[in-house]
Amino acid sequence: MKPVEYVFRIDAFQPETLPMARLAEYLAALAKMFGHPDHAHFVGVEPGSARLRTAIEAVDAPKVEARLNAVRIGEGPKEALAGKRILEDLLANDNATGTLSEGESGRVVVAFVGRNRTKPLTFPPFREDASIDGQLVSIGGRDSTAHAILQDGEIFHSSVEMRRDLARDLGKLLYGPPIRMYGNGRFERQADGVWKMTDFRVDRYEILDGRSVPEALEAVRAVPGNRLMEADAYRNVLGLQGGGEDKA
Amino acid sequence: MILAVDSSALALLVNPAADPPEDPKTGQPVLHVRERVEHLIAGIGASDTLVIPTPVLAEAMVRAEEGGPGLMEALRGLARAKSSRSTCTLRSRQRR
Repeated sequence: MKPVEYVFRIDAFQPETLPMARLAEYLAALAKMFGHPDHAHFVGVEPGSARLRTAIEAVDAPKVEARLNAVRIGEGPKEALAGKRILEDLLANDNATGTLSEGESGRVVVAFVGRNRTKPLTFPPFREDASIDGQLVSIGGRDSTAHAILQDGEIFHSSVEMRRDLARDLGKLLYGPPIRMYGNGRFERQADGVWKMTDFRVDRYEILDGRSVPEALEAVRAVPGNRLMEADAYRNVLGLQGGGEDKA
Repeated sequence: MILAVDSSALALLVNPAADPPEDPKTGQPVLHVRERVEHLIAGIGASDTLVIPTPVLAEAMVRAEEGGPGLMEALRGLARAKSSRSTCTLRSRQRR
């Protein structure tokens, strides 16, 4: 059976302008994306931009096809996705775009945006007073400050530091009731748009009331003189927002 | 689950029996509001969190009038109901 060929096209190069070392980097990333290294081969570089022709032996061709289809929609094995990411980076750095096509039909299997990818917004990190909640699950350290980890459900706040005297107090609450730590954190925005707290210096803390939301709502309802319990409360609140239902 | 509310949603959570909102399509009161809100509250688990943004809390306190300080006191120091600005901005957390 014939091997199945794929062509990786780089629009910024011709065979004579593509540096050998760069070619090696592209091929290494392509191999990572293909997987099945024993049955994926480099055939050659063809003109028409730089077209890297590769061949997958028939025995692994269906597996590679499925892998590439998964990569196209952002799924597939981690290594395959890492290979695609590296190719995107290489293309962007070479001010190029690229495609991976079937050798025979020319059908594009995976398209690469390369230089056209959206540039991530970058913000300088900053510090801000904040608070974090959770259960203390670790505290200690041998340097001048103590370090703690706070667990809030499945989320762990690490890189939390404090004075030793504060740590001594907090140590009594290890695996204890929920607490709120007040202090100053350093925040930075990651490339994927998610904000990350990279450290947190604790000034003080308080022990929290562990009541559930329904129990908290019950407590709010029982507040004497609470006019939110009147019949027109919803429409009145909506009126505060400029809504049209305030008929109070 | 993290439940973040605006002030009208908070008003209904606190008082599900309040006069219901109007359906903008029909101009008629929305049906079974109390039952719907109570069903929502019944679905909130012990580890779920209610986030009340500071402007929402301010509007609730305006409406609560003399009950405002008591409302603040009832919400103070709760692990599962958060009303400070910082809790809204702290989306960045590290997973193990």
